[in-house]
Amino acid sequence: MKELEKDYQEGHISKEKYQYLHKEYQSRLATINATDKVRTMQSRKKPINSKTKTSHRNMADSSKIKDKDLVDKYVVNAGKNQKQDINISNKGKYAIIAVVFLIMAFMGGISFGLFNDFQATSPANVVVTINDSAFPEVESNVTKNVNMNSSSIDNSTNTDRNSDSDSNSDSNDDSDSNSNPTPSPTPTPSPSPTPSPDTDSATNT
Amino acid sequence: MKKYLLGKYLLGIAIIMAVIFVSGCVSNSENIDDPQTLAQNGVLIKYPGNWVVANSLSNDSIISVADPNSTVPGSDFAQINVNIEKRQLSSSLNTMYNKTYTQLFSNSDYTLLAEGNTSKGDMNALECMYSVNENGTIKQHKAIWIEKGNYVYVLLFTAPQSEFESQNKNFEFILNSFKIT
Repeated sequence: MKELEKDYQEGHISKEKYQYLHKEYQSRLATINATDKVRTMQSRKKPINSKTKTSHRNMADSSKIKDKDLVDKYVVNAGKNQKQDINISNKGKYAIIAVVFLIMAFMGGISFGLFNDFQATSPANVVVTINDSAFPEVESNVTKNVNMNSSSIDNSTNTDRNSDSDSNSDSNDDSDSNSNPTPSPTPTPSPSPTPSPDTDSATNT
Repeated sequence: MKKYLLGKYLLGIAIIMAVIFVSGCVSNSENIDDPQTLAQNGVLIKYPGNWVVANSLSNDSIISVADPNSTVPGSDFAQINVNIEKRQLSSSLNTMYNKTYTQLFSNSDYTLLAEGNTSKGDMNALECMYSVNENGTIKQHKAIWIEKGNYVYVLLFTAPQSEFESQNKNFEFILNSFKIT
């Protein structure tokens, strides 16, 4: 504690460090004092023999050593704790720096996106023409006639178009005798008239 | 110790904020950027900001927009476009629809992909999806037929077949914003 005060007065350590170490040392010393008191009380309970004087001395020496060890331990631990605190505080700083960096990056990206027009400029003066129509003028070149069935449209699925020819597409059928061969009816032979030997009599009758 | 805990809390808050910002950016990328509004000839649509109003060669066209980046090199024809056409109904919607596509699919360049009923708001509509081979290039079309009064409005969405799926987002955006005023 004296060294600590001396260091503080000479300006080797900061006020915050001094206060922190002072507090730590005081608490540790209070603990050591308490352990001394406990030990004292324990030693009073036992009768002191002359034979054990040397051993008491040894115990006193060992107690001092233990106290010293305790102090060293606390001092060392205090240093370790300090290092840990420094590490923790550094981690916190890094986290805050990372968060600030992320926020700044996002803000920068958003503002960059907002204030820059990445869309292709609408070419208002570009002349574009289209020749697609829902009512194109097409010439029929399909030999197979297609007939729309209105009932099939209502089914909202692909419609089967009938291949039956209607009255409007008769002309197409005529030109496509090869693709849709229709069996021609077998001609029935007409009965030839049997010649009668006497035609005059027949006409007369 | 308190500083350490404070740093932990701040770090946690920063991570949460980062997740929120990133999720916000992700969800924003799904939306249509800077949509434009166009009201013309009794209809109103919204379209992506990087698209332009297009000139349609169709006589029935009342409004058309296109992606200027999809023009064919050496020409001003846009391959990705939306053309809205209006025609007077000469008969019922179904009859007109059937007549149109019967004629269309009589040409082998046109292939039916799908068709069916749909709806736009409280209006029933017909939908036909087909592809057409134009000089080796396959275009895909989606036509939405909507009847209003004595007229039929046909919204024709067009894109090269390979890009149609990726353009669906824009097409749906335009379709959802379509209003007859």
